[in-house]
Amino acid sequence: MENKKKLDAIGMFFTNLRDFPKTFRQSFIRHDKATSDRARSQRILSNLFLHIHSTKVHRFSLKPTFTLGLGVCAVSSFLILLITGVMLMVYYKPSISLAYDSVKDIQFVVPSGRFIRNLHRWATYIMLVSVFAHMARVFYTASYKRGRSFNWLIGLVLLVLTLILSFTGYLLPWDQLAYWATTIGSNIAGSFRELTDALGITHVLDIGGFMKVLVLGSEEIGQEALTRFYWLHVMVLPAVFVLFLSIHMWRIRKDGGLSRPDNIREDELKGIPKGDLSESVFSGAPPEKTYGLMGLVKGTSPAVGRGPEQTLSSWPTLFIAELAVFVATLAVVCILAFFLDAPLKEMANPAVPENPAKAPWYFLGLQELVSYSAFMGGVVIPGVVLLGLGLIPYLDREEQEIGRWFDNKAGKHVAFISFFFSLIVVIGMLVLTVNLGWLRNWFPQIPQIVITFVNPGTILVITFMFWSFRCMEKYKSIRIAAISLFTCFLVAYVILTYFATYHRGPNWDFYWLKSQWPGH
Amino acid sequence: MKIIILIGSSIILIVLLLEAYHENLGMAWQAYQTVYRKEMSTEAQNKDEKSSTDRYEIKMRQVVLPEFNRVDRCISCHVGMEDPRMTEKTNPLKSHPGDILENHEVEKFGCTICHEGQGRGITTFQAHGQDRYWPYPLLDLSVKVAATSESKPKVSSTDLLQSSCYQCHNAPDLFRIADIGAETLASGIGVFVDNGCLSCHRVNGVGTNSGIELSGIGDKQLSEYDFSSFPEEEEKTIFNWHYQHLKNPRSVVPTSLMPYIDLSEKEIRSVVIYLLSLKKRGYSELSKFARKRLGGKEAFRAFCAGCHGRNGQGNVTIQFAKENTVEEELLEGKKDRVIATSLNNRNLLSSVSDQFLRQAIVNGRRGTRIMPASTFENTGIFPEEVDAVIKLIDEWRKEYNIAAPKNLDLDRTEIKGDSEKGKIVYHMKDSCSQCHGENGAGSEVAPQLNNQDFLQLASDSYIKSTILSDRMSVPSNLTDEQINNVIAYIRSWQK
Repeated sequence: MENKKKLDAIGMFFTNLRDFPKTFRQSFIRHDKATSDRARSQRILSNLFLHIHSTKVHRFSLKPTFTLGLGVCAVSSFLILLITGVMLMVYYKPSISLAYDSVKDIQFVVPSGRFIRNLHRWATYIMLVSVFAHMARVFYTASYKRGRSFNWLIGLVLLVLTLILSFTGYLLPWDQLAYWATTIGSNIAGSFRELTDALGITHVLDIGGFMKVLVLGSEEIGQEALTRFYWLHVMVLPAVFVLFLSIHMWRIRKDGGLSRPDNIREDELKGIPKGDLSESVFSGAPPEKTYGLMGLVKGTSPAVGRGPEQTLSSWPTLFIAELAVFVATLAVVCILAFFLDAPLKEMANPAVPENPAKAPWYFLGLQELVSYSAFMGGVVIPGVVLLGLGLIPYLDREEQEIGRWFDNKAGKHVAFISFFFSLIVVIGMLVLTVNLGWLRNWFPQIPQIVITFVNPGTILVITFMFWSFRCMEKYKSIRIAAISLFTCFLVAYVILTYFATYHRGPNWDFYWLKSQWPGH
Repeated sequence: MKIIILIGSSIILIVLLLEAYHENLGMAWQAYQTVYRKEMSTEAQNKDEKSSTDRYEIKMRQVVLPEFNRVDRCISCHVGMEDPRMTEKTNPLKSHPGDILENHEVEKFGCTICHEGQGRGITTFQAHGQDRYWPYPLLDLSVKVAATSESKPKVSSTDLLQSSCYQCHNAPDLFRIADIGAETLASGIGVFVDNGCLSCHRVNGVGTNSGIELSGIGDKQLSEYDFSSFPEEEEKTIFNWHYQHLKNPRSVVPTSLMPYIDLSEKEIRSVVIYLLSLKKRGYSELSKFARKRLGGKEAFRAFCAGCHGRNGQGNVTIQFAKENTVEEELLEGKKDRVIATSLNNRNLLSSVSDQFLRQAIVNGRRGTRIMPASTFENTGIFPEEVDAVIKLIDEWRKEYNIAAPKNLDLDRTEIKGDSEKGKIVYHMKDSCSQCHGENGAGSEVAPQLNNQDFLQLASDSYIKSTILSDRMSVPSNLTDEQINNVIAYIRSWQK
């Protein structure tokens, strides 16, 4: 009896050993082959990373021309940034005497260091562009409505985090570009002084000084600022960003997935795969027809044992779409990184200012406004814009169909004319100030506080507000006003950024071409 | 969708492969090391040598120099630098010329300390510092001796290299450079000191600061030089800037007050080498305490000649360019003129005592230009050197057969006179004001009398004695009472 048991045990041992590959695989992959919808759902639910997604997705959400994949693009570039950033951390040294040389060594000596650094730089730009574009997409498709207003705010938090992440990273190479761009940024933080000086209360309440020292850890840019920016850039802000990103995606789930119109025509979903569940229950009937006897509730169908219409399993279609966006993003970033090097100028030299000292490109539009008043252009106007953006879903509570770009003909029209209105007004403003100057040129003794309140930035803001109110009156719709205002600001941002990038030279003077700049 | 994944993945793969090759496999330094290994292999005399060359690793090579805060990777391409068998090869495999590596070992000094360039770079473009954002390109490049230029090259690269010697060889003796074979540099220092440059410029605590500070001028980057008035046809390099500036100061800096100094081309070249050698990057400065003491004539040339002329002849106006005549200079306007008293003349030598001289030199004197106080603290001049200069001036007296005047400052009794009446005498036709100017303002031919430093220093007796001793052309018909009145009037200018 004992012997038999022993033999059985030994046999069992070898059987188990032989079966190890299969049993391991079964313990690791707990779902069946994805041949049924249930199996497809299992795949998603049993995976930590994938189960952020829902198991079913609406076909409209997969429409490329609807979202343009911008959100996924932003997340993809963030992922690229995380990975390349972690790689860069291996060699980068956050000390003012070592930082510049460590970046040089990354460029020259670290295998593919140049490439990784370029990837990091280009992924930043792609992320910023896609984040702005994503915000525009969500706005224009009115996707902040129907209970999605809080997610809109989370998105704004993510926008601000992205900008601060980019700004803190900009200082790390410790070259002339980094040092002087940070000088501008920290001076904007200190620009409260403009207000307290005008009121004569700076010696009592020095908000500006406090803010500047808070940012820099010191009166000037030095080791404290570098340590602080490094800490924010590699640890604090990425952690906070990931936290808010999770909330953002969680809220998408809780809000019922991506926005979509109530009435979707079949031709709008052309080219998007269907699943077993996609067919409507009453396939022969026209989509808009309702049946009085049945009393169909909008958006759902009385089907049993199947999901809502026009949905399909997330696996594999959704993931293919996301992968496609990720791969496309990575491909673009790779091509850019291979050919175009991230800039690195001379080592930071506090005694030799860059002229013109320019902030990173996404802040250049702001810098144009700051050139008149640091406080108004750098603190108040961005603050007002952020506040305005945040209030959009709370002020515009009109019930409407969502998920359509510009909603309808009226929306398209208003966006169109607002585009041209803003174009003309902004360019006109720039032409005026370049040719005629501004208050300081006409009245040299004028107190700065007047210019703080009367400058191209404030005039543009007020003009746009009047314009949007006019639209609101004409169309009797807050949404229309919102579209006009948003469009005006978007166009203004783009034009000012372009203008400050290409047409502002030393001493912030106007030049048509960079080749005309004096000196150098 | 899937097609995007396919195309995108292919692009990524291709880029990554290209990138792997581009930055890791097809590097120039690997090629050079491979060639070197092959050379060594063919030159191998026996089996042992051959096996050791086979084991020669193709890898990045560098010298880490923490004291200099540098890392030099030049030897990744310049592999044959210390190999005597490579003398016949072309660069980068060529061995280093001369015997300088014998006491400047590569492991201890690296390369960039003498040759400049960007040591961390690993491609020719980066390592030679040709990136416009690297401030210190290879020395040859800072001159850019273009092969296509018609004129002879202005300076040879061996001369240029001497500008690096001074960073370490700035030992106490100002002229020891000649001992180490840096003749051009040594002669440059000599010319610099001998022509009174220290009268206006300061180097490491020695000299005055009427003109710009020259310590660390060798660190100035190309982008910090102002070429806006630079002659069009000359190439814009650091060397050329200094060369042109020394040749004709106003052609480069239109508002310059630096006088024209007649130097030969060779001398100018050597001075530029000296200027370029004044680098501060991480080195001990020439201690002004340990400087060699200069003799009377040398000290005068070094500290005084810049304004008072090489032989003490003074400057009525300073000649700013070889072409300009004195008259043209005067026409250009008073503000450009710097008047420095003529010292080596009979009248001054016979009226000014050694004591007076010493006081004036040590205290300094305000004027059209400030004569700085010649103290060790201020200009780095040693007290012995001040003594030597005074002795030199005494020797000038001997050439005129003038006895040393008594020091009348000891006699501080005040001379009483009526300053109102003195004013009339002063401003009479052919009287004091004609040369000493309205209200004692001075002119090209006579010193300023309303100068506060002068008035503080000079006693009434000294002034009287000078007037009486026929300094310049004092009218001879003045009575004693009139002279006393004039002196009272002069005193009235003292604040």
